[in-house]
Amino acid sequence: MTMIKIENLVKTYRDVKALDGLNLEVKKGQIYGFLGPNGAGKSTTILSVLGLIYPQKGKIELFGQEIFRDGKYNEKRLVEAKKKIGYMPEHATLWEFLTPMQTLDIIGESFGMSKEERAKRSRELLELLNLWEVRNKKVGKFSKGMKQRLLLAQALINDPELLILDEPMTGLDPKGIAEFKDIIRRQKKEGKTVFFSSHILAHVEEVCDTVGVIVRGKLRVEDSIDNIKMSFLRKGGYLILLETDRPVEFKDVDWEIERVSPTKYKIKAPEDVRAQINEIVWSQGAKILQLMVRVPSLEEIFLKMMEEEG
Amino acid sequence: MMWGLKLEIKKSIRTKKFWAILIIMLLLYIPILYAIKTVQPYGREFTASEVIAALISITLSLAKFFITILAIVLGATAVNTEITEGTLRVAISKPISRLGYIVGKFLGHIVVLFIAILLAVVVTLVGIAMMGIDITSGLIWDVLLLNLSILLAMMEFLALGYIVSLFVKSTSTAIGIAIVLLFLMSLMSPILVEYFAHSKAEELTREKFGPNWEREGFLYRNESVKSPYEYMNIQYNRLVKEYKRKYLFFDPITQLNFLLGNLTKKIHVTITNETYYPMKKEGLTIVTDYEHPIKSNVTNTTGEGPCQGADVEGGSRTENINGTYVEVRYEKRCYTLETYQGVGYSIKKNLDRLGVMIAMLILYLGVGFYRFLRMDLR
Repeated sequence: MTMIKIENLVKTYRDVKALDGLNLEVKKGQIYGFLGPNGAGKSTTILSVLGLIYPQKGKIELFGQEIFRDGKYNEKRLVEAKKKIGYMPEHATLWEFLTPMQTLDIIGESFGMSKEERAKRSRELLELLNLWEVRNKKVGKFSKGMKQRLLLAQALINDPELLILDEPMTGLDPKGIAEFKDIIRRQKKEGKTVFFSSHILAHVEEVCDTVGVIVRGKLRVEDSIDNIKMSFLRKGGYLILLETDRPVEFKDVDWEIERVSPTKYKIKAPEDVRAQINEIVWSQGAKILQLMVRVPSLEEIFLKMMEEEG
Repeated sequence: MMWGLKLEIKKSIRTKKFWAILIIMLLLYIPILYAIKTVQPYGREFTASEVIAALISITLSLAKFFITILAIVLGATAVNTEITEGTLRVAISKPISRLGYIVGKFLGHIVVLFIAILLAVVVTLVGIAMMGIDITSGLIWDVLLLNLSILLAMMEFLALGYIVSLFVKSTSTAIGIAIVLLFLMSLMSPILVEYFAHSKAEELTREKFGPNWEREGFLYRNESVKSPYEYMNIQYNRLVKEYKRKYLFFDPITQLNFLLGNLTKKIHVTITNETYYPMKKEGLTIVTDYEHPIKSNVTNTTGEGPCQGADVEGGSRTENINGTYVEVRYEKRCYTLETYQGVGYSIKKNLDRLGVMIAMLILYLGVGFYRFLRMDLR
């Protein structure tokens, strides 16, 4: 069963094209990482799925039901679909004058949960996310990490079939990121679907089974995380930093070589060429003092992809 | 809808802003009550109706300057704050419709304002009771009706504020625009209308009295005909009223003034005292014999509205009665009597204004809600 199906979605803000005919499909039970540089259209995609913005063209289906077509939402189906969705927005806070208990209570109410249900579920979630101690403190006084955890708690209150997270791990410390990943894995174990966006590769590693990359409002790649990583490496190329005890000459190679100092080189190659470098250095009687391989960052790869696009 | 309402109320009553507003509102009443209690006209106590009339006029002027700003600013920050903070995205991602949410939110705001107003009513009544005036059910009803009329005007301002907040994303800019809007609507446009009424009244006076009416005006001083100044004044007052009714339908304050413009009913009583004196010939001159008045007449007439013209008028005329001449000395005194009729009376007399206010409220809300349904919430 497809949880989210987006066909040819177009959204323009004034003169900026945020989505340029996006196609996307998320299947039941998938943990889908939605990667892309800042401003690529990740948030716009998520906001469209939730009926928060009006794209100009295209089609959106949720749980097999068409909720949007060519500028119009089917309000009734959208409301029905939202009952099974949990959403954690980016750059958001919750109502500052309410406590976590009050927040989860009022949000649970929107799903028509009974008072007992709400109390039970709130307790579960606050304990799970280490917020039980501060359940009666006002949210306005919370730290960034606590606010993020409460935002996740409110997204989980209805035990959603589909969890949509917009940049959930931005600004969190490594411990916080690990906690978030644990929760995503828990959802997977329960057979739930998670769709989450990020602009940092490390955030989607280890948890996602499928990754989609969006650049300039279009889905460029969709594959498993390992394949994507490999293709990124291939695209970005290897960057090798070499330091030798005496100058070396590179002949008959088509790598990009930059001589930083007489004995220091920056080598850019399309593949792993460490063995060849070793050979060349030894054949000229020099010794390698240091050899470092730098994997290109996601940003660099995105830039490269955008350059390729023109 | 109910969810949005509940959320708004829960949120509002927990903010410090709400309680600050409430306390300021209540504090404003204390000096009023104190002033009424200490200032006594001619050493006597105020009558109940005088106290109520004073309270109402003070409450109204307060409403104009304080509560309207409050309502429009409350509205102007209602939605954009939620967009920038991201709470709106959380709320709308829940299984509720956009329309239900915004209607609920507006109702929530009204409930909050109503709580503030109810408290104000209670304080007013307690204040009146402390002055030793009996609290009758009629009085409670009056104060409540007064505050409900103010609430209606506030709802209009709140709706206008919503429109601003739905078009202007930055909160501080929105507050600025809302205050400018209030200034233009409720301060500038009445002045403009008064200016036009004045020019028109001048034109009418010129038509009637000629182009030199200003120079010749003094000629009319002792005539029974109305002087040009007086004529112009009457025309001006009539035109201001007419123009304000016609062109300022969009301004809640003007309409509220009309709605509550007939709290008191004015009638005038004219007492005319005429004394007839005989005239006789003494040599070549004719003299009046003031020693032996023939008769004296006192007539009373009452009419609607305040006195027209001078309050005291006197003089004499000569009349021919059955062939003999008599001098009639007369003195006319006019008294304007004002009786308090109540808020209900005034509203009943101005039902059309109530209709205008409700229609404008629906229009403002329509614009705001339509925008909310169609906009990108990001």
